[in-house]
This record gives sequence, structure tokens and C-alpha cells, in this order.
Amino acid sequence: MRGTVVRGLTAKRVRRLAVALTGAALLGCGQDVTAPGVCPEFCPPVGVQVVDSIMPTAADSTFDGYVSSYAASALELIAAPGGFGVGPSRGVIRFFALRDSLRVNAIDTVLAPIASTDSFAVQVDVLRRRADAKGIRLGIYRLPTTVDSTATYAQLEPYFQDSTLIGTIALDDTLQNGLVSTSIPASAFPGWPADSFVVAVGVAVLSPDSAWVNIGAVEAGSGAQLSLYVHQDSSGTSVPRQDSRLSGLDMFVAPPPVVPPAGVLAVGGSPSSRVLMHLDVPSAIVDSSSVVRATLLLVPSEPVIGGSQDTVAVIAHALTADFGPKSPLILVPADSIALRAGNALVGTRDTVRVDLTDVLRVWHTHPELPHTIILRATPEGATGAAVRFGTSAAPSAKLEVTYIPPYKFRG
Amino acid sequence: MRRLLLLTGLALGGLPAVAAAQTSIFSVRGIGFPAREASARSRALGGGFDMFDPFSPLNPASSASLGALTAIGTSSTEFRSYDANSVTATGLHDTRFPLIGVAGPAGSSPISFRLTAGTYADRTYDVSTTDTVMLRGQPVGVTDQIGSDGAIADIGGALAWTVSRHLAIGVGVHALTGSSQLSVSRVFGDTTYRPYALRGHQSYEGFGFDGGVMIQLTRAIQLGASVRSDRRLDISVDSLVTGSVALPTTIAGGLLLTPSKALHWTTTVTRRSWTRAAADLAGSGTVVFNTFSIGSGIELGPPESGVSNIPLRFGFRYATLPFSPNAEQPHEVGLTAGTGLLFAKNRALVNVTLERIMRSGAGVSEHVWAFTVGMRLRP
Repeated sequence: MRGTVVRGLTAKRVRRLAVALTGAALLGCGQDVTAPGVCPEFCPPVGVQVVDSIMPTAADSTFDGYVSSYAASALELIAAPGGFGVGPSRGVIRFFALRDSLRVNAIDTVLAPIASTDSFAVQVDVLRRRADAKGIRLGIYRLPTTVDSTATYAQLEPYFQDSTLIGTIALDDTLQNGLVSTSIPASAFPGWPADSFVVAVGVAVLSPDSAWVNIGAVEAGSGAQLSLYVHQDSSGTSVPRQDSRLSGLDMFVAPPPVVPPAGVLAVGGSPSSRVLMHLDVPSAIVDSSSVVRATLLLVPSEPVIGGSQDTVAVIAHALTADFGPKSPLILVPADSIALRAGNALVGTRDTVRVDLTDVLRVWHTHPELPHTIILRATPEGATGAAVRFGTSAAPSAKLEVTYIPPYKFRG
Repeated sequence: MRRLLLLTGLALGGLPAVAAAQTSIFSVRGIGFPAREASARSRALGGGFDMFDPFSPLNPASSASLGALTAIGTSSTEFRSYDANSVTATGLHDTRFPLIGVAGPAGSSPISFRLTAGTYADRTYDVSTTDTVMLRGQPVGVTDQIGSDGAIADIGGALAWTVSRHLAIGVGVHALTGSSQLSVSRVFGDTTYRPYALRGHQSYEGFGFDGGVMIQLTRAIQLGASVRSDRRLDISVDSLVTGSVALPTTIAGGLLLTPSKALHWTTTVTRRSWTRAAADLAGSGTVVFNTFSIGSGIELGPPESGVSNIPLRFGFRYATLPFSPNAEQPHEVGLTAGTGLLFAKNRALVNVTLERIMRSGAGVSEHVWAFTVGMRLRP
């Protein structure tokens, strides 16, 4: 019996003990061997080296006309004294056509004529504004319904007068963004049925001081909205009803900026300009090393133009192929734009630092891509703000790359 | 034959699990931390039984003492801390499978065989350091992590011939193989710098051979001796040979005293000529020493004696270590205790061992608690 019974322990219990011991050993199969290093005595002899390198950029060119204000995601409204290097700008909004008859009830299949027009309301979405400006008002002006995307500042300026002012929206000094609206009397658009039920308005910033406001555009889903308040007959009873329309055209107009000398490199403006830039990055860096940070340094050749105290965000895109100005861009994820963009403060010549780390990393993993980037403003075409930095013949841009050369594990 | 195939399959099937026997701060130096290919029983005896343990790769003749086909598996969990140059690390732990094997007689012939898989040197470490570097004219904090997870494995085969009741001789061959997953990373305190990480695969290739003898002088005195010669170890990173290191010759001797059936006193001494690798490792700043170790232990109620099913073991071990960052040779001292439990009609034996190991030298003081569980099966 020896071997099967051990001092009161049955063989079954012993087997359980063995299983438990084995299980305990296997359950302990984890490890935590991470420890603070004792260097250099007990560290691997080869450390990680980080190298900084600054190199000039190669050929650059500017191309214009990418995004016009009518296709931009926002409208920039600058008060008369609110710009630096750019003139005042006005918003132009033409709404989709209204109708002269509406459903009295939602389930009605037949439209009933409008008995009387009570009022209108215009709502705009304030995206940004000059934060320190006080007492800003948005003036709403009646514009001819024939206005279209070819309209110029000079053509529309006569309509921004007191005689055509049909409403104002006072912005609270603490409001930085959000929806604002104002009611406009029906008499403001006496001829709207005769104008094919179309209504067009202009928007301008009214401020005694330097000020600007950016409002949303329909291209970004934040366009202005027109509401119509009427009364209709419902079985002998006059009932109030409402109808709404989004903008079919929204844009802003401004005096043409001073044309820079030929060859000047510029990013931004409206219609927007882009810079096509070739970068001559050594293969030892982009192909063989690990780039941990890459920054394009743009030194403005003149103060940045735009709304006073505003900033211009400049972002760089890698290209899937180099077809010159029509090269297809590799898009930047929306949540990365703020991290990668370089911001230029209007009125200054501070160096603009555009992050290129992801661009060089894409080149590392896709060596077939051209070492060419396109610089553009973001959002593009939404403001007249622009950065000018040197000329094609004498580019002032530099590329600063911080990288880790190939690491060699010790043998 | 079916039993042999089954046990061989079990043993070889466990090969991928062989990773590293120990980790130590000294794993960073040289070819790693030289491991102890020992069973739980021999560990409990301070390594003094290594020369006579049928599964110890130290002596190819030792498998002659096995009367039946047998397989073993070993699991070891360590808890470690160290102090070095004002740096203190605690709470480090890892679990490894330092030795598995199968051995037994070849039928009724006087020939016995043994197949083992163990760890030759441990290459597991994970070092984290912080520093400040100047980048773009600004100081930037960095945290580096450099790691290796793996080991140099020793796959051994041995044949022993029982020449007489008093003499057994054996020869063996060893294939050194294995790999380590290497990693290095750097994280910057300024998050505008992207983290850096790189992985590599390091593999090892080498071989060795050995010969040994066991002599039963009297019923109470048994002697053992062995010589092992390992050739060069080729080291490759991502399939590219990056280095070659000369490996040592090992000379070992042992004494097993059995004054009574219920008592074993066993001692093993070992000498390894690691300085053969000095020239190969000089470039890494590693100072190489020859090593000496002595282990001795007492076993009350050995499992084969039939006296008890629960043997008690105590041991002591002293060993010098081969790799140091400076001219001071580190060493370790170990105190061990263990027991075992026979069951299933003596066909199964579970051994457990607790070791307290203290390493010092080269500016380091390292303390280890090691818990080893071994299972021996005899179908």
C-alpha cells in the first residue's frame, strides 16, 4: 500500500495536490522584469541616438484659384477698420425660393394660399469672432435677388447702406460662437412674391472698432436660414404658420487685395492659393531612419494679412502623385488638422511652423510617393487671410527634421 | 516503445516553452545570465546533486542510474529585487521552465539514453531609463526602454553505458539554439516628438559535446566527473549574423555519500573557462571571468531509498559569475530547502524547492526568492 496512502492522505487527495501545484505553477506564468536601468554598467551598450538636421527646401511654386468664397466652409465678415492688409468684407446670402402656399396641417395633401405675411427671421451661425471686440452687431441688408457668385465687392457696396438695412443682430460680448437670429418685418421684402419668391440678404459687421466675424456656410452644414411667418385660413379661422429655407448661395466679397509681386509664394486668401513645394530629404533620413518630428519653417516675407488678431492655419499634404497644381492630396484626418497646422498671427512675421512628421512617415512607408507637398490654408477659401513667404527664386522655407538613425541591436 | 515515444513527444513538445531559467540584472551583460539546468530536486540540494541527477545535462553518464523510462518537467518562479548605484528595483518576477527531459534504459541493454531541453543562458531583461536630451536647442525629457525576452536553449542528447556495477560512462552532444525578441523604444516628454519603437529577432546557433563517468567506489561513496566543450555561439539579428562568441569548457566533479539508506550528502564543483569569450565581448565593455561553483546538500529520505515518501532536502551553493561591467567579479550565494511527494504507486513524484539567492559584486546587490516545482513521471 505504500505509495498509494501517505500518512492519512489518500492517493486521490495527493493527485489533487499535484494538480494544484502544477496549476499554481502554470498560473504564475507571467513576468514583470521591467526595471530602472543602471547605466552604463547594466544597460545595453548601444543607446538611442537622436539627430537634428535643418535643410533648405527645393523648388516652390504658387498656384491660385482653388477654393472661392462661394465654395468655402465659412464666410469672413470684416468691419471697415477690422482688417490688416485686406479691406472690409461682406456676406452675401441668397435663399432658396419660398412658396406662396403652404400646408395648413402637416397631414394635408393640398396647399392653401398664404393669407398674410407677418414677418421674416434670419438666423446665422457664428463660428469665430475677434474675441476682444466689443459691441459687435451684424447688419442685415436687402440685396437684389439676381445676385450670384460673380458679384464683386464694388458691385454690391451700394446695397450696404442705411436705406437697405433691414435688421441687426447684436452679439453679446461674451458670445464666441453659436446661433444668432433677428426678426425682419414683412415690409423689408415687399416684392418677394414678384421675385419668384426669392430673398437675398447681405451681412456686414457693424462695429466702431476693429472687428471681424466668421459665420457658417451651407457647404459645411452651418449655413444661414430664412424663416417666413404667415397666417393662413383654416376652415374660416386664421392660423399662424411658418416656413423655412436654407441658403442656396453664400459667399463673401471684399476689395481685391494688393497683388503681390510675381513669384511670391502665398498660402491662403480667397480664392485660395496653394504652394507646391519639393523637398530634397536625404534617403538616409526618410528611408532608413525613424523620423520623430519634422517641421517646415516658413518665414513670412511680409506681415501676414487678414482680420486683425486673427490667425491663419497652414497645413501640409503629401501627394499621391506629382501632377503639379492638380496633384491629388493625401487627406489629413479631421482630428489631426489642429496638431499638424502651423498658425500665423495676422500682422506679424513670426515663423510659421507646419508639422510634417506624418508626411515624412508616409514617405518612409510608401517610397513610391513623390517628395512633394502642397501647403494650403485651413479652412480654405473661408477668409482673405494669407501668408507670403519669399519667392520661387529665393524660398525662405526650411525643413527641420529630428530623427533616429537606424538602431543596431548588439550581437 | 510506445511509452518512450509518448514521453519523448511530451518532452519535445514542450521545447517552445523553454525560455529562460532566471533573469537577473546580470542578464544584460555578455551572452546573458548563465542558467542552471537543474531539476527541482538538485536545486533543493544546492546543486550538489547536479553530477548525479539522471536529468542533469552536466554529466552524460548520470542517466545510467535510471531503472525505468522517466520524464520530468520543471517550473520556476522568481521574485527579485536589486540595489545598484543608488537605483533600487523591487517587485520583479518571472516564471520559466528551466529543464524538461526524458530518459531511461534502452530495453534490457546496459545502454541508457537521455533527451533534455534546458536553458544555457538567460537573455531576458527589460531596462527603463530616463534622461534629458537637447533637441532643437531645448531640453527634452526622454524615457527609454530596452528589452530582450528569450534565452539560449540547450538541447541535449546523451548515451550512457553501465560498464559494471561500479562504473558507468557516457557521452553527449548539445545543440545550442533559441531566440530572443529584442525591443527598444523611446518616449519623449514633449509629445510633439513621436514615440520611437523598434523590434528585432535575435537567434543563436552553436553546439557542444561532453563526456562523463560515474564510479561507485563503495556502497556509500560515489564519484562523478565530466568534461564539456562548447564551441562558438553564432548570434544573428533578423537573420544577419552580427556576432560570434567563444563558449567555455566545463570541468565538473562530484561526490555522493550515502552513509545510510535514509541520508544522502552530495557535492558538485564546476569550473568554466568563460575567459575564452573575453576577446569577443571586449567591444561591449564586458569584463569576463572564469567561474567556479560549489554546491552541497543533504537529503533525508531520498525517494529511491523507500524510507519515506516525503524527503527533506537542504543545500548551500556558492558560485562566481562570468560577466561584469568592471574588474570586480560578482558572485552568488544560495540557501535552499525542499521536499517531495511520491504518489501513484511511486510512479509520480512532485518536488518543490525554495531558494534564497544573494548576488553581489560589480556594484550590485541582488536578492532572489525562487520557488521551483518539478514533476517526475514514470509510466
